[in-house]
Amino acid sequence: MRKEQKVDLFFELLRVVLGIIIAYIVCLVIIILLTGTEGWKDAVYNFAIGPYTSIRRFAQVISRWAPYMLVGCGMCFVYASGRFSVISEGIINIAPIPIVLFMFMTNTMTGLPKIINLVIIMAACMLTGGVVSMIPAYGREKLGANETVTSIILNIVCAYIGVSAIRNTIANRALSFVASPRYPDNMRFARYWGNTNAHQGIWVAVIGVIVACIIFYRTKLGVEIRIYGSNPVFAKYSGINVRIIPFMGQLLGGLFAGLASCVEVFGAYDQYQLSMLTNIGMDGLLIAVMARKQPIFVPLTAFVLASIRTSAAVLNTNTNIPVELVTMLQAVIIFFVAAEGFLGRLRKRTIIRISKQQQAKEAR
Amino acid sequence: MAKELLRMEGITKIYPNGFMANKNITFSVMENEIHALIGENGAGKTTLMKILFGIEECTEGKIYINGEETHISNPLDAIAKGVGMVHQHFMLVPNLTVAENIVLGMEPGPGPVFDKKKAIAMTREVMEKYQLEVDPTMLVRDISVGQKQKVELLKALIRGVKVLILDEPTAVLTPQETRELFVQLKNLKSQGYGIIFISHKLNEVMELCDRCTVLRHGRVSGRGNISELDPAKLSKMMVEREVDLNIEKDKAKAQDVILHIEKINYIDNYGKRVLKDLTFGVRAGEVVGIAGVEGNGQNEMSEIISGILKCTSGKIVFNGVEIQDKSIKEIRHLGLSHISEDRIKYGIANTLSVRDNIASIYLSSGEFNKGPFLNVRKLNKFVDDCIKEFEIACSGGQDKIRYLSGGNIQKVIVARELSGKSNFVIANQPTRGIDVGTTDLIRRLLVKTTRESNRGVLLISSDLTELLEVSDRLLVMKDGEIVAQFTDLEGVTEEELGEYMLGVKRMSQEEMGDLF
Repeated sequence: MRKEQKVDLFFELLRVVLGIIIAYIVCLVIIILLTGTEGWKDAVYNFAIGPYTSIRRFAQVISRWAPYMLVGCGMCFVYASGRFSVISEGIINIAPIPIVLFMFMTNTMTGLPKIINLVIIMAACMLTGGVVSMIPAYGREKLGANETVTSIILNIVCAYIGVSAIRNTIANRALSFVASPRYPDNMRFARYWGNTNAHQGIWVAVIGVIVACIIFYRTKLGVEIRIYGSNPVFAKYSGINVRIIPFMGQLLGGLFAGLASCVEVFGAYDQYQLSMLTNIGMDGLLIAVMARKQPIFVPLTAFVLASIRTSAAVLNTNTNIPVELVTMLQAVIIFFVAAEGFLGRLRKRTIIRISKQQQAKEAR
Repeated sequence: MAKELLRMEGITKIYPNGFMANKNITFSVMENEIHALIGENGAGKTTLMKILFGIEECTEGKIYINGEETHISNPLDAIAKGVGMVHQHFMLVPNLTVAENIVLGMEPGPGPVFDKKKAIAMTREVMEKYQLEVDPTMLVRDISVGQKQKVELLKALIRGVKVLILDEPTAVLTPQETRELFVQLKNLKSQGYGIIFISHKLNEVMELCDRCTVLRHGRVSGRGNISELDPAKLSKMMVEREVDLNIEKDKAKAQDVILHIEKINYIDNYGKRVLKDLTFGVRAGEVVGIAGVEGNGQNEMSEIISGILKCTSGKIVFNGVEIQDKSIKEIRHLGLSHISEDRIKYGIANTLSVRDNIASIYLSSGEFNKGPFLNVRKLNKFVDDCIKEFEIACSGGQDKIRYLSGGNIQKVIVARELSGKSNFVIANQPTRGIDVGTTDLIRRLLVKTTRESNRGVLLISSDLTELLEVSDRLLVMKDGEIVAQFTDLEGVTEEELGEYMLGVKRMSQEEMGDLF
């Protein structure tokens, strides 16, 4: 590798790591300000290592990690194809609806073995996710409507369609909120460690990341998506089908978001009860940005975010600090990670220095 | 002694990708002087001028104007301090009139209202003062290249600049237009202006300039008064080793017609007819050169052949198939390779690796597929072979292409286009802005591929030397038509080509003979 490239790589990494560290410090400072001099030690402790103090909390991290990895990988494809559709957010809510309705309105799945049911559920969620992702994609590619705007608006539509579909059909009237009946045991991911939130869905996520990496790095489609995203004109010149590729990027994003939704809804919950947006899709965007749109880094960045999110929840229960604090933390991370100019001067100076050294070496 | 208008001292520029374009350059311009800044492509001339004009910031060094140290932060600042620039590619608005372009940014009139009459009057006034005549009411897109250059000059002059930078002004001009420009520049010189003339054409420098500074690999390699120098001395300063650019080639054995273009027409978005019944052909085993002043339909033609653009009417037969309605992919599968004139826009995906960039045109053919996956081993070997064979300076296929120099990027493109199974190559300006060594390599490869692999090559270039060196047959294009054909290039001079390029002369159908 060339020296300049190494420096660039180093600074990209440094930016992500420093971004996270700075975000942490900012949050700690705010925690201290909020809690006063009394309880700050407790708060900091809860925030820093709260998620790892009990198996139940750690299970919570694992439970978040699974959909994060999947949705993050999906966002890598969307993002790498040069599009910024955030429809993943709405897909989390809407993707399980058809299969949930099917599950409780017919008896087809009742007698089937669990493994078959899970495959059916996953396929149905991915299919719905894929179809929904095509709406903003079609708007963008055929009608020229900005996919970011349409997808943000559609997200809310998706959430309400989900709620109303359940309310008007299979809602469990015994509950005070809108929810489907409880999933039968052969139609969900089983929990681990004595009914904690960690569930079998994590394996789906692991396989999902591997598949994403293979598609991204080792298939014709993956290379075409990356070329198109990097330079659409060049993709056209190379004979790549430029009408299909942006659709494919967004479709893959939708499929992975659908799978993420499946893992979340049929793993972390006992019934379909999403009544508003979950923020998982938006977190997926952040995960992909932190991973520099490389699926190979997604497990790492997804874990960091899952951990931070769980910290916030722990903090919320143990102290008087609101869970919304984490939203701010996220903002700080995005700010530093996405800001190309952050550390830019130092990077420039370093490159200038090594260039000079090389010149001197060549001169000798 | 003449007054020093401008002085740049110890200028060093390092680009963010680590490329050192200027190394400790010192340079000055006097009043009443035309100062040549010469050097090969890529020697750092344009970078130095971009620093002077405030487009780029220098890493080290000082700039003095009229003896005072200044810092030029942007082009507006540069103009305010009396430095104007005429770019290689004109910075004009094609949909506005000449007068509107000239007063752009300093529009006359009360408040927000634009006083057109006053604008025209102002334009006329400067035109008279400097004897540069262009009709101020014409739309810029309708005037000739030479006139556009005058508009660029006027744009700078009306803003009261004292130092004019001309970045390769003659590259797009015919020899006749060049001569006219020289008269105008000498006139400006006598009025007290300092002119920086960037070029790599020695004869022009000898004819026009008073002093010169020669750059080589970003350093000053020589300077002096033109009266004490001769072309031989200058070229020695410019080129570090004796490059034998004479390409030895045996006579072409032209075979079957690969490409046959029949009466294609193209009308652009402005309704201008860019190609007019263009008809010619290329055979296997020969290099056909296309000469012509830039903007006479060459780019449109190459984009239409490669399928990027669709022609308005006409027929193109390529390897026996009519391709005018085919997609880029289908045309590539039929055996076309295309080296585009704009290598950053069309030729590469900047953020990806050398490997991905080489793979791009082979993806759709499935050559490197293994079932649904890529045959990574085969692809890596192919890429490594390309790197070795075409002497691409990188440490491996995984290097990001944007860290490579321009010459090496072009080598990647040439390697990609020539390593496949195609039997026809369009090479549009394949050596523009490339260092001498790579230029030589690419020219040789183009000849070699016709002789050894029996390919047909269509070479479009604005470098007449290149065309005369490489081509077996040379066509001259003017206003979207072929106006001359030379089947024997022995004794054809650049002057002669220039007359056809400008339209002073034109061969009749009989003189040209069959165009394939």
